[in-house]
Amino acid sequence: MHSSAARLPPHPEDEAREALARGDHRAALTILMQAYGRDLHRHCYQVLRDRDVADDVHQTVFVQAYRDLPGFAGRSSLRTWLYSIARHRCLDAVKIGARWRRRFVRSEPLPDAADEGPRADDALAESGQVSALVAALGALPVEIRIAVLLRYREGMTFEEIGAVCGELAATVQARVARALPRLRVALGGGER
Amino acid sequence: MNDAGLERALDDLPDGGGPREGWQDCVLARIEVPPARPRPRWPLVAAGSGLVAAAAAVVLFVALRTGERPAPPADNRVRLEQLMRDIDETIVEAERLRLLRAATAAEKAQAQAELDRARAKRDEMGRRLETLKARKRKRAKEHEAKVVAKCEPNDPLCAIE
Repeated sequence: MHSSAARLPPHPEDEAREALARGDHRAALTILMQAYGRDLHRHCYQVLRDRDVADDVHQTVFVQAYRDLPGFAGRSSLRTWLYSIARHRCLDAVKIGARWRRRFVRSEPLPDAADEGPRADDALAESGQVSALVAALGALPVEIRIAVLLRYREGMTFEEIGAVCGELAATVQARVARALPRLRVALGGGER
Repeated sequence: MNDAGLERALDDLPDGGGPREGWQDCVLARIEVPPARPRPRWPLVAAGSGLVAAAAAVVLFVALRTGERPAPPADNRVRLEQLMRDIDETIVEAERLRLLRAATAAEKAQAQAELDRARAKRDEMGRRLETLKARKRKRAKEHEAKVVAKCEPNDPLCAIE
Protein backbone atom coordinates (compact mmCIF):
# COMPACT_ATOMS: atom_id res chain seq x y z
CA MET A 1 0.00 0.00 0.00
CA HIS A 2 1.52 3.19 -1.01
CA SER A 3 0.76 6.71 0.05
CA SER A 4 -1.53 8.62 -2.22
CA ALA A 5 -0.17 11.99 -1.06
CA ALA A 6 1.27 13.91 -3.99
CA ARG A 7 4.90 14.59 -3.74
CA LEU A 8 5.56 18.24 -3.40
CA PRO A 9 8.02 19.63 -5.89
CA PRO A 10 11.31 20.59 -4.30
CA HIS A 11 11.52 24.19 -3.17
CA PRO A 12 13.85 26.23 -5.40
CA GLU A 13 15.77 27.40 -2.34
CA ASP A 14 16.58 23.82 -1.39
CA GLU A 15 17.44 22.86 -4.96
CA ALA A 16 19.70 25.84 -5.39
CA ARG A 17 21.45 25.20 -2.06
CA GLU A 18 22.02 21.60 -3.03
CA ALA A 19 23.57 22.71 -6.31
CA LEU A 20 25.75 25.16 -4.39
CA ALA A 21 26.80 22.47 -1.94
CA ARG A 22 28.07 20.28 -4.77
CA GLY A 23 29.81 23.26 -6.37
CA ASP A 24 27.57 23.52 -9.42
CA HIS A 25 27.14 27.29 -9.46
CA ARG A 26 25.80 27.38 -12.96
CA ALA A 27 22.99 25.01 -12.05
CA ALA A 28 22.25 27.06 -8.92
CA LEU A 29 22.06 30.21 -11.02
CA THR A 30 19.68 28.57 -13.49
CA ILE A 31 17.40 27.48 -10.65
CA LEU A 32 17.40 30.99 -9.21
CA MET A 33 16.67 32.57 -12.58
CA GLN A 34 13.74 30.27 -13.15
CA ALA A 35 12.36 30.70 -9.63
CA TYR A 36 12.80 34.43 -9.11
CA GLY A 37 13.54 35.96 -12.49
CA ARG A 38 10.06 37.26 -13.22
CA ASP A 39 9.40 38.62 -9.73
CA LEU A 40 12.78 40.36 -9.67
CA HIS A 41 12.16 41.93 -13.05
CA ARG A 42 8.83 43.27 -11.85
CA HIS A 43 10.48 44.68 -8.75
CA CYS A 44 13.26 46.37 -10.76
CA TYR A 45 10.72 47.83 -13.18
CA GLN A 46 8.53 49.23 -10.41
CA VAL A 47 11.50 50.78 -8.66
CA LEU A 48 13.12 52.21 -11.79
CA ARG A 49 9.98 52.81 -13.89
CA ASP A 50 11.91 52.30 -17.11
CA ARG A 51 11.71 49.00 -18.96
CA ASP A 52 15.10 49.18 -20.67
CA VAL A 53 16.95 50.14 -17.51
CA ALA A 54 15.06 47.48 -15.59
CA ASP A 55 16.07 44.85 -18.18
CA ASP A 56 19.71 45.76 -17.83
CA VAL A 57 19.66 45.94 -14.04
CA HIS A 58 17.72 42.67 -13.85
CA GLN A 59 20.34 40.79 -15.86
CA THR A 60 23.17 42.44 -13.96
CA VAL A 61 21.65 41.19 -10.71
CA PHE A 62 21.96 37.59 -11.83
CA VAL A 63 25.40 38.06 -13.31
CA GLN A 64 26.58 39.51 -10.01
CA ALA A 65 24.78 36.76 -8.11
CA TYR A 66 26.69 34.17 -10.09
CA ARG A 67 30.01 35.88 -9.28
CA ASP A 68 29.10 36.19 -5.58
CA LEU A 69 27.65 32.69 -5.15
CA PRO A 70 30.93 31.22 -3.90
CA GLY A 71 30.83 33.72 -1.04
CA PHE A 72 27.20 33.20 -0.12
CA ALA A 73 27.26 32.41 3.58
CA GLY A 74 23.67 31.21 3.90
CA ARG A 75 22.79 33.70 6.64
CA SER A 76 19.65 34.66 4.71
CA SER A 77 17.52 32.97 2.10
CA LEU A 78 18.74 33.07 -1.48
CA ARG A 79 15.65 35.08 -2.39
CA THR A 80 16.45 37.78 0.18
CA TRP A 81 20.05 37.78 -0.98
CA LEU A 82 19.00 38.30 -4.60
CA TYR A 83 16.72 41.17 -3.67
CA SER A 84 19.55 42.72 -1.70
CA ILE A 85 21.73 42.68 -4.83
CA ALA A 86 18.82 44.08 -6.83
CA ARG A 87 18.39 46.92 -4.34
CA HIS A 88 22.02 47.97 -4.69
CA ARG A 89 21.94 47.83 -8.47
CA CYS A 90 18.66 49.79 -8.57
CA LEU A 91 20.11 52.47 -6.33
CA ASP A 92 23.16 52.71 -8.58
CA ALA A 93 20.93 53.02 -11.64
CA VAL A 94 18.89 55.77 -10.00
CA LYS A 95 22.07 57.72 -9.15
CA ILE A 96 23.45 57.34 -12.65
CA GLY A 97 20.11 58.39 -14.15
CA ALA A 98 19.92 61.48 -11.93
CA ARG A 99 23.47 62.48 -12.91
CA TRP A 100 22.70 61.96 -16.58
CA ARG A 101 19.54 64.07 -16.38
CA ARG A 102 21.38 66.89 -14.63
CA ARG A 103 23.92 66.97 -17.42
CA PHE A 104 22.01 66.24 -20.59
CA VAL A 105 18.27 66.79 -20.25
CA ARG A 106 17.22 69.90 -22.16
CA SER A 107 14.58 72.25 -20.87
CA GLU A 108 12.76 72.15 -24.20
CA PRO A 109 12.54 69.17 -26.56
CA LEU A 110 14.54 69.01 -29.80
CA PRO A 111 12.56 69.78 -32.96
CA ASP A 112 12.89 66.28 -34.41
CA ALA A 113 12.65 64.35 -31.17
CA ALA A 114 10.36 61.34 -31.26
CA ASP A 115 7.20 61.55 -29.28
CA GLU A 116 8.24 60.84 -25.76
CA GLY A 117 4.76 60.37 -24.44
CA PRO A 118 3.76 57.23 -22.60
CA ARG A 119 3.56 54.04 -24.61
CA ALA A 120 0.13 52.67 -25.41
CA ASP A 121 0.28 49.72 -23.06
CA ASP A 122 1.67 51.89 -20.29
CA ALA A 123 -1.06 54.45 -20.84
CA LEU A 124 -3.68 51.73 -20.61
CA ALA A 125 -2.20 50.30 -17.48
CA GLU A 126 -1.58 53.66 -15.88
CA SER A 127 -5.11 54.92 -15.93
CA GLY A 128 -7.00 56.47 -13.10
CA GLN A 129 -5.99 55.31 -9.69
CA VAL A 130 -3.12 53.24 -10.94
CA SER A 131 -1.63 56.25 -12.67
CA ALA A 132 -1.98 58.30 -9.51
CA LEU A 133 -0.44 55.53 -7.46
CA VAL A 134 2.48 55.17 -9.87
CA ALA A 135 3.09 58.91 -9.65
CA ALA A 136 2.87 58.85 -5.86
CA LEU A 137 5.30 55.95 -5.67
CA GLY A 138 7.65 57.74 -8.00
CA ALA A 139 7.58 60.78 -5.75
CA LEU A 140 8.73 58.72 -2.77
CA PRO A 141 12.45 58.57 -2.01
CA VAL A 142 13.79 55.48 -3.74
CA GLU A 143 14.73 53.70 -0.50
CA ILE A 144 11.18 54.05 0.80
CA ARG A 145 9.76 53.05 -2.55
CA ILE A 146 11.79 49.87 -2.44
CA ALA A 147 10.59 49.08 1.08
CA VAL A 148 6.94 49.66 0.14
CA LEU A 149 7.21 47.46 -2.96
CA LEU A 150 9.01 44.68 -1.10
CA ARG A 151 6.25 44.73 1.50
CA TYR A 152 3.17 45.03 -0.67
CA ARG A 153 4.22 43.57 -4.00
CA GLU A 154 6.79 40.98 -3.05
CA GLY A 155 5.06 40.00 0.19
CA MET A 156 8.17 40.13 2.35
CA THR A 157 8.08 40.41 6.11
CA PHE A 158 9.69 43.41 7.74
CA GLU A 159 12.48 41.15 8.96
CA GLU A 160 13.18 40.06 5.40
CA ILE A 161 13.00 43.64 4.14
CA GLY A 162 15.39 44.64 6.90
CA ALA A 163 17.80 41.94 5.72
CA VAL A 164 17.52 43.20 2.13
CA CYS A 165 18.05 46.84 3.08
CA GLY A 166 20.55 46.28 5.84
CA GLU A 167 18.28 47.96 8.37
CA LEU A 168 16.41 46.94 11.47
CA ALA A 169 12.93 45.59 10.89
CA ALA A 170 11.46 48.33 13.09
CA THR A 171 13.18 51.03 11.01
CA VAL A 172 11.77 49.61 7.82
CA GLN A 173 8.32 49.28 9.33
CA ALA A 174 8.35 52.93 10.42
CA ARG A 175 9.53 53.99 6.98
CA VAL A 176 6.70 52.12 5.26
CA ALA A 177 4.17 53.42 7.76
CA ARG A 178 5.16 57.03 6.97
CA ALA A 179 4.75 56.41 3.24
CA LEU A 180 1.27 54.88 3.38
CA PRO A 181 -0.66 58.12 4.11
CA ARG A 182 0.94 59.76 1.07
CA LEU A 183 -0.13 56.86 -1.12
CA ARG A 184 -3.65 56.91 0.27
CA VAL A 185 -3.93 60.61 -0.47
CA ALA A 186 -2.85 59.91 -4.06
CA LEU A 187 -5.61 57.32 -4.35
CA GLY A 188 -8.09 59.87 -3.09
CA GLY A 189 -8.75 57.99 0.11
CA GLY A 190 -7.50 60.73 2.36
CA GLU A 191 -5.49 60.11 5.53
CA ARG A 192 -6.70 57.34 7.78
CA MET B 1 -8.97 54.07 2.19
CA ASN B 2 -7.88 51.17 4.33
CA ASP B 3 -4.80 49.09 3.94
CA ALA B 4 -6.67 46.38 2.03
CA GLY B 5 -7.71 48.92 -0.59
CA LEU B 6 -4.16 50.20 -0.86
CA GLU B 7 -2.88 46.67 -1.20
CA ARG B 8 -5.32 45.96 -4.00
CA ALA B 9 -4.25 49.12 -5.76
CA LEU B 10 -0.58 48.18 -5.38
CA ASP B 11 -1.37 44.76 -6.82
CA ASP B 12 -2.57 46.49 -9.97
CA LEU B 13 0.72 48.28 -10.56
CA PRO B 14 2.07 47.57 -14.03
CA ASP B 15 4.80 44.96 -14.03
CA GLY B 16 6.58 46.16 -17.18
CA GLY B 17 5.67 43.13 -19.25
CA GLY B 18 8.15 40.79 -17.61
CA PRO B 19 11.72 40.06 -18.68
CA ARG B 20 12.38 39.87 -22.40
CA GLU B 21 12.60 36.52 -24.09
CA GLY B 22 16.03 34.96 -23.99
CA TRP B 23 17.18 36.94 -20.98
CA GLN B 24 18.50 33.86 -19.25
CA ASP B 25 20.72 33.10 -22.25
CA CYS B 26 22.00 36.69 -22.07
CA VAL B 27 22.93 36.20 -18.43
CA LEU B 28 24.63 32.88 -19.14
CA ALA B 29 26.57 34.49 -21.98
CA ARG B 30 27.65 37.37 -19.73
CA ILE B 31 28.94 35.10 -17.00
CA GLU B 32 31.27 33.47 -19.54
CA VAL B 33 33.03 36.80 -20.01
CA PRO B 34 35.51 37.44 -17.22
CA PRO B 35 34.91 40.69 -15.36
CA ALA B 36 36.90 43.68 -16.59
CA ARG B 37 40.05 44.24 -14.61
CA PRO B 38 40.20 47.62 -12.99
CA ARG B 39 42.30 50.04 -14.96
CA PRO B 40 45.58 50.89 -13.29
CA ARG B 41 45.76 54.36 -11.92
CA TRP B 42 48.64 55.64 -13.92
CA PRO B 43 49.74 58.52 -11.67
CA LEU B 44 49.94 56.16 -8.71
CA VAL B 45 51.72 53.53 -10.78
CA ALA B 46 54.22 56.11 -12.01
CA ALA B 47 54.83 57.44 -8.50
CA GLY B 48 55.17 53.94 -7.11
CA SER B 49 57.62 52.80 -9.76
CA GLY B 50 59.61 56.00 -9.30
CA LEU B 51 59.89 55.31 -5.59
CA VAL B 52 60.93 51.74 -6.26
CA ALA B 53 63.56 52.89 -8.76
CA ALA B 54 64.89 55.49 -6.32
CA ALA B 55 65.07 52.94 -3.52
CA ALA B 56 66.88 50.48 -5.79
CA ALA B 57 69.35 53.18 -6.82
CA VAL B 58 70.09 53.99 -3.18
CA VAL B 59 70.62 50.33 -2.34
CA LEU B 60 72.92 49.84 -5.32
CA PHE B 61 74.87 52.97 -4.49
CA VAL B 62 75.42 51.90 -0.91
CA ALA B 63 76.32 48.37 -1.91
CA LEU B 64 78.70 49.26 -4.70
CA ARG B 65 80.56 52.22 -3.27
CA THR B 66 84.24 51.64 -2.47
CA GLY B 67 85.68 51.35 0.99
CA GLU B 68 87.21 54.78 0.74
CA ARG B 69 85.72 57.14 3.12
CA PRO B 70 86.30 60.87 3.10
CA ALA B 71 89.20 61.76 5.34
CA PRO B 72 88.22 63.21 8.64
CA PRO B 73 88.80 66.95 9.07
CA ALA B 74 91.97 66.45 11.13
CA ASP B 75 93.70 64.58 8.30
CA ASN B 76 92.75 67.32 5.86
CA ARG B 77 94.20 69.94 8.15
CA VAL B 78 97.48 68.08 8.40
CA ARG B 79 97.68 67.70 4.66
CA LEU B 80 96.99 71.38 4.19
CA GLU B 81 99.64 72.39 6.69
CA GLN B 82 102.09 70.01 5.01
CA LEU B 83 101.33 71.57 1.68
CA MET B 84 101.85 75.05 3.04
CA ARG B 85 105.16 74.01 4.58
CA ASP B 86 106.24 72.65 1.22
CA ILE B 87 105.33 75.97 -0.33
CA ASP B 88 107.33 77.79 2.36
CA GLU B 89 110.31 75.52 1.65
CA THR B 90 110.08 76.43 -2.01
CA ILE B 91 109.98 80.11 -1.08
CA VAL B 92 113.07 79.69 1.11
CA GLU B 93 114.88 78.03 -1.76
CA ALA B 94 113.87 80.84 -4.08
CA GLU B 95 115.14 83.46 -1.61
CA ARG B 96 118.43 81.62 -1.31
CA LEU B 97 118.87 81.68 -5.07
CA ARG B 98 117.99 85.38 -5.07
CA LEU B 99 120.66 85.98 -2.46
CA LEU B 100 123.23 84.13 -4.57
CA ARG B 101 122.33 86.27 -7.59
CA ALA B 102 122.42 89.55 -5.61
CA ALA B 103 125.07 91.82 -7.09
CA THR B 104 125.15 94.78 -4.81
CA ALA B 105 125.36 95.00 -1.02
CA ALA B 106 121.86 96.49 -0.87
CA GLU B 107 120.43 93.65 -2.92
CA LYS B 108 122.28 91.13 -0.79
CA ALA B 109 120.96 92.74 2.41
CA GLN B 110 117.39 92.73 1.09
CA ALA B 111 117.69 89.14 -0.17
CA GLN B 112 119.12 88.03 3.18
CA ALA B 113 116.23 89.69 5.04
CA GLU B 114 113.71 88.01 2.76
CA LEU B 115 115.49 84.69 3.22
CA ASP B 116 115.39 85.05 6.99
CA ARG B 117 111.67 85.85 6.92
CA ALA B 118 110.96 82.85 4.67
CA ARG B 119 112.94 80.52 6.94
CA ALA B 120 111.14 81.83 10.02
CA LYS B 121 107.79 81.29 8.38
CA ARG B 122 108.83 77.80 7.20
CA ASP B 123 109.94 76.87 10.70
CA GLU B 124 106.75 78.24 12.22
CA MET B 125 104.72 76.22 9.75
CA GLY B 126 106.84 73.16 10.58
CA ARG B 127 106.15 73.54 14.32
CA ARG B 128 102.39 73.87 13.65
CA LEU B 129 102.52 70.81 11.46
CA GLU B 130 104.28 68.80 14.15
CA THR B 131 101.69 69.96 16.71
CA LEU B 132 98.86 68.86 14.44
CA LYS B 133 100.46 65.47 13.87
CA ALA B 134 100.95 64.99 17.57
CA ARG B 135 97.31 65.83 18.25
CA LYS B 136 96.21 63.42 15.53
CA ARG B 137 98.30 60.64 17.03
CA LYS B 138 96.89 61.35 20.45
CA ARG B 139 93.29 61.32 19.20
CA ALA B 140 93.91 58.08 17.33
CA LYS B 141 95.20 56.44 20.51
CA GLU B 142 92.21 57.70 22.51
CA HIS B 143 89.81 56.36 19.88
CA GLU B 144 91.50 52.98 19.87
CA ALA B 145 91.18 52.82 23.62
CA LYS B 146 87.40 53.50 23.51
CA VAL B 147 86.37 51.33 20.59
CA VAL B 148 86.84 47.63 20.87
CA ALA B 149 86.56 46.15 17.44
CA LYS B 150 85.15 42.68 17.55
CA CYS B 151 86.68 40.58 14.91
CA GLU B 152 85.98 37.06 14.02
CA PRO B 153 89.29 35.25 13.60
CA ASN B 154 88.37 33.98 10.18
CA ASP B 155 86.80 37.19 8.94
CA PRO B 156 88.83 38.28 5.93
CA LEU B 157 87.49 41.85 6.17
CA CYS B 158 88.80 42.37 9.65
CA ALA B 159 92.35 43.83 9.53
CA ILE B 160 94.37 42.13 12.15
CA GLU B 161 97.68 43.78 12.95
